[in-house]
Amino acid sequence: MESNVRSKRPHNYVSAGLILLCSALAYVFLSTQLLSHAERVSPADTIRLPDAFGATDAGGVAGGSPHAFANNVSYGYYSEDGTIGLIKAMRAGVALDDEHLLESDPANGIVRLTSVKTGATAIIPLDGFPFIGEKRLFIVRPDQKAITEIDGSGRFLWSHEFGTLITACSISRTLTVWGLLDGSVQFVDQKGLLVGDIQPGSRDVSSLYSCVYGAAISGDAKLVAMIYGLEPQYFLVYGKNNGVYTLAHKRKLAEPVRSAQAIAFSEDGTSVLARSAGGFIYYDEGKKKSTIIQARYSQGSRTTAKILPMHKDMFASLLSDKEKSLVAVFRKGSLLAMFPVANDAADISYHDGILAVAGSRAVTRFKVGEK
Amino acid sequence: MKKMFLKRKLLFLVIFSLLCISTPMAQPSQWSFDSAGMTAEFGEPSLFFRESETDQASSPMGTGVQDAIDYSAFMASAGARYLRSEMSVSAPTPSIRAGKEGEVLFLQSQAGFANSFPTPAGNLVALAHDDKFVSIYSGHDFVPDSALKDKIGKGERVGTVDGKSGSAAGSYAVQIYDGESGVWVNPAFFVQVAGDKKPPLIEQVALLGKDGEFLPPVKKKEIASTLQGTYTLAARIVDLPSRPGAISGVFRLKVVLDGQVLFDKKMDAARATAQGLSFLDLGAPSSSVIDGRGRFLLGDYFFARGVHNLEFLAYDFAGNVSNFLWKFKAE
Repeated sequence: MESNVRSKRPHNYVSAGLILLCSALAYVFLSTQLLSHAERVSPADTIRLPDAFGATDAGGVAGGSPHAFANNVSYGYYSEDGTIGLIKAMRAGVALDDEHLLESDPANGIVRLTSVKTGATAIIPLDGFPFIGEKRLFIVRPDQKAITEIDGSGRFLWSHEFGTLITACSISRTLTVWGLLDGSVQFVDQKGLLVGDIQPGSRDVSSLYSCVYGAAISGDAKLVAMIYGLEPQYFLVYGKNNGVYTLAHKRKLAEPVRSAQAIAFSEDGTSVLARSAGGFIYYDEGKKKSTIIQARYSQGSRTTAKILPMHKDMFASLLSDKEKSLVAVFRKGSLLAMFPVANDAADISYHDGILAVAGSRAVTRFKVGEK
Repeated sequence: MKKMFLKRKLLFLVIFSLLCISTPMAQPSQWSFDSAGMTAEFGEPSLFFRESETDQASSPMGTGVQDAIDYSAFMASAGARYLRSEMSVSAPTPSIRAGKEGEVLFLQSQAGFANSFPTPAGNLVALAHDDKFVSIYSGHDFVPDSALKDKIGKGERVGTVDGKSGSAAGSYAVQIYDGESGVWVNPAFFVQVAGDKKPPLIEQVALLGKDGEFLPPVKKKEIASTLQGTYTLAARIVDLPSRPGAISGVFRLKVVLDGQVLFDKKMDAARATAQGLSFLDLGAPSSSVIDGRGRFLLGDYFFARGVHNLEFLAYDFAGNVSNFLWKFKAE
């Protein structure tokens, strides 16, 4: 009897090993779906950026469709054929998209707004840093406690002062969402009126400390997601019911973040991708469930991430730390692809199936298949 | 009826006083900040705004400006006109230490991704303290420690200042937020006041009426006249340090009309409201309590016919006081 037991031991080890191997393979299979041809991310081209700055005519790229780029040393525009129309040395206080360029000039207490299409420049008499979201133009006050929106020609639209420091924000076509140091999230409409707020700590969750580390609103403003609080920290999703946002989902996070984090809704507004200290959080509104995607390099506090919604339910994320940068592509909560990019990659953008990654020497473009 | 009214008024005053006494305030002795000099900018009009004293309706930039842009809308907005809630500190050493033990609540770095949400307040460390206070250390010269622990002891390093921005070598800003009461507390409360012997300067006082402003005559003995009616009290006051290293800042404003106190408020805290920041218990946002010339708007008051003595008093943290007595006639 004793000898039988002894003889089975090696088989037990093999079985355990096989189970572990199968589990690992299943985990890899389930968390990393195989790419179909239509979803593939493949290199398209590379646009080399000149070392010298000096081209100053943004209108020079108007022949094609100008695309904005920004990295740690420069910013500007390139056309579809790779022609550089404008390149300037990067400094603090620049925001640009394919239509507008905003440059702060703290010495004179102004912000310059340039129309990429016409080249016309307007001077905005505000001391602050600009920000562009959903083609809407904002200037954040130097103390980070107030925001001003201007239109594309530089006209004043509205201004709003908050009670505390802005720590997170998200822009939709109709609403702007501002996460604050005091743990509240405030909604400001297109006229600059405060139309509502969410105070998770007063009704939905209990944390020792209040602060909003990330906030996002869906394009139709029906859902709001946020990373809230410390000790413990939560990922929260609120849904709009009868005009009021109520808690739809909460997830306690094992490890907290202490700085602003990337968080974004998918283009169709049905899912959210957020970065937390434990990896990416994916929320599916259809299933009302969230999962943690533990992609390599996505965890910890040393890596920073930028999340960009692409078409339908796809996201791209630029992950960066002091040593390396990676781009991750997600669909429906699955990591489709992850690949290294230039170590100094500083921004990602997406247009019509092309994902552009801006480094200091080149803009590298990738084709992303649409399913 | 009158007695009942007086009783109610008395009861209200007693309750209000008790509430004021019971409002939790951090004990200044628990805090300490290293400094080689401080400017309590708390409640000061924004620097850029204060400097542009010219006609606010015209462009401050001069040439090359489109006519379509309404500059007065910008200049009157909360984006340009506001009261500050920090204290600038000249650091005696490059190391910036926590004024009190706390937990790192929020960290902000200027070195984020390009084209992302901006960080105009610069690098920033917010420490949450066990009494619900939050202290914030920030600035463009300020660099948070790369190996910052989650919990910081009193006097432990939170970051360094290198003076690279060139504005004021080795300076950083301190802000203190009382999360329990929802107010920004003047950080000057938490430092030892010494060495300031120079009183604040009352640069201008005015009565702002619907038909224009009424200013004191150049000759002090002259008694000018204005129409009887309601006017807004306006005063521009600054407090400059008497010597390097001294703490400066306007702390208290008092206005007395014919022996009766019209206004007496301290620049001790700013309430965080849904409309913005409320200083001196006046309205929010803070842009609503300063005018185009950086003057505090201290409320509307009726001036009946007769000769009036209007006295403005401004105090700084060291208790230095300056006053301006204005005798005028309402007709």
